[in-house]
Amino acid sequence: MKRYGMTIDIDRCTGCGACMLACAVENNIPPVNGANDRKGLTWIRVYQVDNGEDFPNRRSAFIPVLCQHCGHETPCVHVCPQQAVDVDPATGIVGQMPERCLGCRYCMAACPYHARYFNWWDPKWPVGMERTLNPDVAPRMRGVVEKCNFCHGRRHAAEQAGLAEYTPACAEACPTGAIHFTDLNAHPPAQADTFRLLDRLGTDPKIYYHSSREWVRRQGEPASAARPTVADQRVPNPSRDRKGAVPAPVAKADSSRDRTKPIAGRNADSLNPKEASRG
Amino acid sequence: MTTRRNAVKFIAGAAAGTVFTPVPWKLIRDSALWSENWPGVPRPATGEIKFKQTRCGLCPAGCAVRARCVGEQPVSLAGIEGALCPLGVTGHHLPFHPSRLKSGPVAEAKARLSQALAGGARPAVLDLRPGRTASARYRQIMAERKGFYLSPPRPPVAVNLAAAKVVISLGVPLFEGWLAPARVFAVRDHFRLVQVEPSLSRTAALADQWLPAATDLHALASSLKSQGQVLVLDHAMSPEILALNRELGGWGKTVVPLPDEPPAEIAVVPDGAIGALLIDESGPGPYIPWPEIAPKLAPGAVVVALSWWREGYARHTALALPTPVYPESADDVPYTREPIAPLVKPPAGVIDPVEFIAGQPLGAPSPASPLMAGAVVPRIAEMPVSTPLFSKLYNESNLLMHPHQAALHPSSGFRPGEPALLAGAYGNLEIEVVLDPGIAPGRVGFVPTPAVLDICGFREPQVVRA
Amino acid sequence: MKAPIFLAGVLSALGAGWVGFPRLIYKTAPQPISFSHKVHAEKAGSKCEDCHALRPDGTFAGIPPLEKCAGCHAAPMGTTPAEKAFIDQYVTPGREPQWGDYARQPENVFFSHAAHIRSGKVKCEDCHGDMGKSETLPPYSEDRVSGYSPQTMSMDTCIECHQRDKVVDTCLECHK
Repeated sequence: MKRYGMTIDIDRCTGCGACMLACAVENNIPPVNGANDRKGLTWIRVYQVDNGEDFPNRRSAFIPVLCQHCGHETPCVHVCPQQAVDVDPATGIVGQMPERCLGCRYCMAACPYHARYFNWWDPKWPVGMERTLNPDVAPRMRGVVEKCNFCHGRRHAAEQAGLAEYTPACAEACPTGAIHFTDLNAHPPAQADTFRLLDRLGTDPKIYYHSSREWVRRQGEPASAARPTVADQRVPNPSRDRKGAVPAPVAKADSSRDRTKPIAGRNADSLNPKEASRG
Repeated sequence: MTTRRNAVKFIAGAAAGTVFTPVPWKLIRDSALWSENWPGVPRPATGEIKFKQTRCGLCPAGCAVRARCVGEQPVSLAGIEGALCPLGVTGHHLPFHPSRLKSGPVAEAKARLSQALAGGARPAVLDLRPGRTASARYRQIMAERKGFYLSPPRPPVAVNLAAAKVVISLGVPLFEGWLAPARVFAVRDHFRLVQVEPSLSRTAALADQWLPAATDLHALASSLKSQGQVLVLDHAMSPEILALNRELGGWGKTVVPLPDEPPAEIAVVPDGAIGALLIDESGPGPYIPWPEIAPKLAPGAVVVALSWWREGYARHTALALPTPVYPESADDVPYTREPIAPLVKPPAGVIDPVEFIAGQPLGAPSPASPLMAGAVVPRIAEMPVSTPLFSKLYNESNLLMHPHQAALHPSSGFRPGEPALLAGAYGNLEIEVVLDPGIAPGRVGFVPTPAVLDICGFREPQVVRA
Repeated sequence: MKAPIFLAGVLSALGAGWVGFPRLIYKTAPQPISFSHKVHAEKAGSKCEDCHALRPDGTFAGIPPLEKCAGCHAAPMGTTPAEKAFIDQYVTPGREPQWGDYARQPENVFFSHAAHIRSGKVKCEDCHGDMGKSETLPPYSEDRVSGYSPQTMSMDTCIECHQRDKVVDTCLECHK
């Protein structure tokens, strides 16, 4: 039984975007010209965060956010009316099948990480560039939701070739070695200076972030993001609780309120100047 | 008898009968299957997967590349000794760049060129990627024909970070492509980075120490000497910085001299001296602003741009001829002369720049001259080329600034998204203001595309109200 | 008179639905060359995997390319007109024959022959029937609406085996 996940060292991320491009190359994600940061397609997105100070005390960091492959009460699975999302018990990978998707986008609303993307347009590449498409991944049509699946095309290819391990495109492409893809059962992430995004929701995300900077670690739990926690909402029902599930941590004290923008809500609450001018 | 009633009965019977045939059920199933193959979704070509090796031809670092190909067509690129930068990882998309130059007046260019040369016009070659075998060929030909060999400022040294314990960087985008990022991060844990830069760049964000300014560089370097070998970097590795490194004992260790070459700067050319200018822009590379070149041209000079795209010098001459581009072109890595094997055949109609300028194709590259292990040739000039997928970085997310934007400190008084003018020494360009508290007050963050460099030269532009 | 008209409607619908519709919905085209699997299996002693091989990386080569055929048939080995036509029309000019692939899977399906043969111990005949013993190639037909051949496996077929044999049946196990 594997439990695939990632550890991402934010102290090494330069925000170059090679992971986003390698992901688009691997998974046949078209360039969506004319899209903005809300309508674009990118299964991994690097967010710039900062400590909220002004020059010259400002510090910034880059946080790559992809599907967190939630292991407990996976929010997108619960809301899908089409059973187009499932969690593979053998790998822990949350899979999304675009051919079955009807485009209702409940999953996008349910995802606390904004890690799901909707195809607003037919996939189009510049003339001739279709030739560079990866044969291991099927391009998706307009009107469906898609997201990171830890490069299932590569997993298939590796399994077929008899290889035990594989590396997703983003981890392979990271020039600074910030992204590590591992079996978390075999290599549990180090505890020190490690955090997960919105850990208190109790969804057991499998992407672990590392930073030696305290203000960066606080970004994982933006206190201003007023989302109900799983623990708050759920009617106590022990039979529904899976064995060994991580208990939802109590929300941390509001000491970091208003200091930083919440990562997960960043693209929703910042007005994009590009969009304003485009009209 | 055909009555209305009978027709209705017949239709009712047919409808009832149809339920007991495969027709409705198969059509339901078929239409569901059809919807899987929505029209307008391209189908990737299939075939045997092969791997080819080459070197990246997009900057002087020349990273080793493994290309995963379906048949002959590369479908993804990966680094061998370290991962590639964002441009390198999408390098196989360059031939499909929407601005790719695909045709040009070849016969007219040849005729006008030979006419000009026969009339005694002095030729010049502008080689934007110096240090290659092709560059040596151009230099030789220009020497024979009493012409000028011109190139952008070339790096005088390669840099070996592995030999340094402390790196003082004067605004060098060390983590952003100045040296191949994977080569930098391979040794990142072994040196301490002090970034001296007015604005909070990506390099400054990850530096061990960020200083907006340093008044006394010598004092700073001396104070850090106790921690080990100090390496001082500036953007172009200028003579003063090289002298300082020599003083710090880094010559031959942290900075490795590249072969000396006669000057090729455009500044040495007298005004109005060039009668026929040939530009080799056969790949992404540095760009010399056109206002620096134009005064050097004689009246009525013939300018032929051998260019891979329309966004560079092709904007300044009618004689723009298409060339192959990485990974179509056989070339070599600057200075080390490692061969770059073409991965795909160039399209019909492109012109080999060396063949056009020198009269014959390049042939075998000159023998490789290996650098000291660990040393990397820096990319000292900005190279803001993007491949189609870069829309992920600046349209579909906010990771990179769009070329039509300029960043200012919020104290500038501009509103975010406000239209304004980027004002340079040679003209203005309409842009849109982005506010960034990491930019030093009074400074401007901009994307140095050829269009922007053409209005500001190598000096920082200002942002003024439209 | 009431029933016969209604009945005529029913009968004509049944006729059209069972006889006319199947002809209408499929478009058929003959294969480029009449190929006998039987001759190759018996006279040349070929096994399925001699031509329909798994590559070293585990991918399935499918219908062999012209190169593979030309390896033996550079010059005629027999006397059949089909072989002569094949050499004249395809091998000599180096033109790849456009075979219709009966069992081609939809674009969104990842079907690994390697996994089924090696781990699942499925034999070729289990899915492809007696194709290996056929004397001629049946014409290739394709559904006009869905674009698939009648032999294209549907998900029901996949799931049937996967559930029976308790094999993983998550979405991404078979979809790409």
